Amino acid sequence: MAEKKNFGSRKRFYNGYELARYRKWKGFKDSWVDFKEWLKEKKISGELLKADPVRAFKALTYYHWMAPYLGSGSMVDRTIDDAHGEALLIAHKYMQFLLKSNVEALIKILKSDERFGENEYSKKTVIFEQDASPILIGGFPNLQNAVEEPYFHILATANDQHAGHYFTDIIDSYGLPSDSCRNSSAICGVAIDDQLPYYGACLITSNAPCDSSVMNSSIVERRLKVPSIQGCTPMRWKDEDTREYAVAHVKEVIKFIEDCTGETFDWDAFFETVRQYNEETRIQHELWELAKSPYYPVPSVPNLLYRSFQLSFSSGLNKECAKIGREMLEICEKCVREKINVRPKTRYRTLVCGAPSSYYMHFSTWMYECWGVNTVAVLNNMSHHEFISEDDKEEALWGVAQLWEQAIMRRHLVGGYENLLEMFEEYERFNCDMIVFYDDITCKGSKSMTGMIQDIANERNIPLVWISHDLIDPRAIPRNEMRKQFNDFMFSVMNEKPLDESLLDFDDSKGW
Amino acid sequence: MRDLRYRVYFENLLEEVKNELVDKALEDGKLALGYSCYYIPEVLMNLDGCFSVRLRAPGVADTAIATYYMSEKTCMYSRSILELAIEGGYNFFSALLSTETCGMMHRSHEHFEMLDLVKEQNEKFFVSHVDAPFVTKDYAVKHYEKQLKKHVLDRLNEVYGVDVSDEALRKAIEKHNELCRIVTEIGNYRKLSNPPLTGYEFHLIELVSECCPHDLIMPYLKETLEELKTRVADKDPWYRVRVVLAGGENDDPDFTKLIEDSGAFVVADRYCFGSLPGREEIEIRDGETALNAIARHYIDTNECPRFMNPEKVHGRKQYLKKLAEDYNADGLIVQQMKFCEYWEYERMYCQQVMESDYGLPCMGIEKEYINTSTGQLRTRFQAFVEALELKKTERGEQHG
Ligand code: SF4
Ligand code: SF4
Repeated sequence: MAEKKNFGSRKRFYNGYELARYRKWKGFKDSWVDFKEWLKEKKISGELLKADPVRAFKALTYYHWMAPYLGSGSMVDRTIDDAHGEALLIAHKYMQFLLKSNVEALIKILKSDERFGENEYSKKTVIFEQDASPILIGGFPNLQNAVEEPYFHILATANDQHAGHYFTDIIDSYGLPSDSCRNSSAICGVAIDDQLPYYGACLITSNAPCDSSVMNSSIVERRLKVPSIQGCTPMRWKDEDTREYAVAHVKEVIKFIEDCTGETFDWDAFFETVRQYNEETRIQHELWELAKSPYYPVPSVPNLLYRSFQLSFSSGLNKECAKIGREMLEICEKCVREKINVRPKTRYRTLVCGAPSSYYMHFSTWMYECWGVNTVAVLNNMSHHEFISEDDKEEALWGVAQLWEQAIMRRHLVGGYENLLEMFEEYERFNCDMIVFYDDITCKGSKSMTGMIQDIANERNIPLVWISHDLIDPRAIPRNEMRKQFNDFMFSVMNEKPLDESLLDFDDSKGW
Repeated sequence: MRDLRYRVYFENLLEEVKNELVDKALEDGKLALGYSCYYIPEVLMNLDGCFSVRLRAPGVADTAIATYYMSEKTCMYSRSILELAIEGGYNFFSALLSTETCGMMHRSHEHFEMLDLVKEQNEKFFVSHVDAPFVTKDYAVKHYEKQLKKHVLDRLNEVYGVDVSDEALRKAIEKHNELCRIVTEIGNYRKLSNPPLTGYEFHLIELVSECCPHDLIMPYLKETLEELKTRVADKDPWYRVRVVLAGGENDDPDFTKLIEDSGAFVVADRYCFGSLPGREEIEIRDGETALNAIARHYIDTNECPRFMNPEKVHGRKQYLKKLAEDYNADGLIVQQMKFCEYWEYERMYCQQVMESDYGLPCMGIEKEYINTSTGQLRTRFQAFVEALELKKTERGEQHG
């Protein structure tokens, strides 16, 4: 096959790579903002090496999931490629929060990793497995939390598209079929390859979001070798009668942490965290209100990442989260109030559903640049958005249970088909005129609803496109294959012409 | 060995979901209650005036419509159920009792609601969803009991006026236990070194006991038990090795037959639709209500890989080992339906640890609901039989 040559706006990239020879020129003002913020991002990334250079070096040479962080600058560039004016500033702020939280989390892991020597932090670390909010740690001011999955394969793959399949290959060779959810299987690969840090006072496993994450827990538990308690949040979370059981479980987790660490749950500190969490949630609700407007400036990808990882990185524990949120809110309010249009290429407003591919987080950026399809709402983000009681203990514990029940992905994929079909309400709420469904080929919860979703979309005349992807492994469905699916839809169903032909068909299968 | 008197009859009963015994029970005005999963206690669906039918989809060769709804990347059992439902194959149901235990199976059941299936034939038809726990703690058992009451008993009572009193439950337990005793007694013949029963025959027996009205199948089961008492096995055992068959959904006796045709006697059936667990008697302990006992029993005996607590995670392997000892098995076959997430992991796990940690040689199989590639499977089974034989020879044991 002849190698595809980049042209037009792809010309600045090396053929086959997502690596640019020079930065994108966005006009004088935007380019200056871009450069300034880019420098800040470099500084944030550098903190990782500065905090404990020896441990960082050892980790970089041992952990396969660590090296991709060197590519985080490129990841930021990819995700904000479509941002201009106010949107550019917002995008940078979001990404800086994400990078900072990520770096802080990694520093915590590095410092507590007993693989690189004994330390005072390990026994103060409570590990939360996939998708579980660490909010309870707010009640243990002397402890710190670590949330497993985001760093080891999701963010690593977002940084370097080829980072995650190293781990899925391992679990495949162990005998797990590759049709099993890649999100859950990748962490097993990490565990089996002895790539989990040696740390933790205890582990809280999770049954979220779905069947495969129920099953991967015992592999993680077996490898971590710390006391663990099993997550057993109800599935039918809308059934009022599951409350007693859900709350009993939260109480048991608190007791377990107390037993493992010798600490006592501090209700005052916990309620302080809850207040912070509620503030984050309130900001998000306000942002959603603004997102209904055509002048909503937030580019989709940074928003998606911020919201997804807000659960793991903050849940009220990180004061920075609400601070960034408030700044963002101000800019958004200004854009809407003053009718500043920073997304001028918009031809369609789309709702994005399903799990986005970790190796192509910036797909929405491309949709906007190539076709003028602006992602204004992300179904996955409409999760964990309930407020928690700030003074009633029983109610607050119920709030924690709900936070676990309605975690990202779980919120829509379990507990009844109506939850996934809420996508059609969100479509109306955000004044969309298109739905893009990220069709993770290993996600059984959404795959087993495809016909019904398509039927409803047809009945209501809603243009809906399925973008198949593999979540972790770009060799199965490469990025260009994903783009092709969207191109076909835009040409044949929407009868549209691209805004930028040079973005229709290009090769970025190598490197980051 | 002479043919079992009711073998062909049982085979015929399994050809259709709505077989002649189901028809007879419906004529008698009984309510047919469908279910798929072990988390819905069979005994609750056999209260007076009701009978249980475990969902199978015999004869569904093509799942085109269900595949449109659920995609080709989901468990074929779940899709086959949906296909048959769309064809009207379960139109005689009064209710479908579901659990959100396995996501795909549950989605398949949800399509009954989304597509308004069965409703046209019976407007009182309902689908009810039970939330089942992931651990065995006391509060989890209590939760399970509450769910069974709310989503099974209360619904049956509200919609159809079924008597769900403690007394009615005790009566149902008594009848259920009688059926379990008979099936277990039949199954125990598999422990003999030269048994008057094959694994295939037992698979038929267990399946008819799950898919036909209990009152009506009982006489046939009793007669079969009597027949076995005098049935003479061939002089030499017909098999080369003995295996425990474990795994997820398996309602296909031909699959068991395929294994046995390769020389491995299936001595124990530890899969969904099997008798281990499933045919243990329910004991009502002092101070317990009937529903307390049922909830406790179905959590205690449950071997589903969905349980996350270590007692269950390790207990499942120990249970397999124990079955191998009790039934004198040489090895273990773990079968898993393609796309089944629970059993993909459990099968992988078993393959990794059963031989090394429990001394039980293990083979893993990925299968479809309807197996078309029997040639390939047969070759693999034969290879496993040979490997087991070799091990036996090394240990100085005789074949068969
Ligand atoms: S494997 Fe578990 S969830 Fe699936 S059908 Fe069997 S008992 Fe039910
Ligand atoms: S075989 Fe597996 S996927 Fe299919 S219904 Fe049973 S548990 Fe679910």
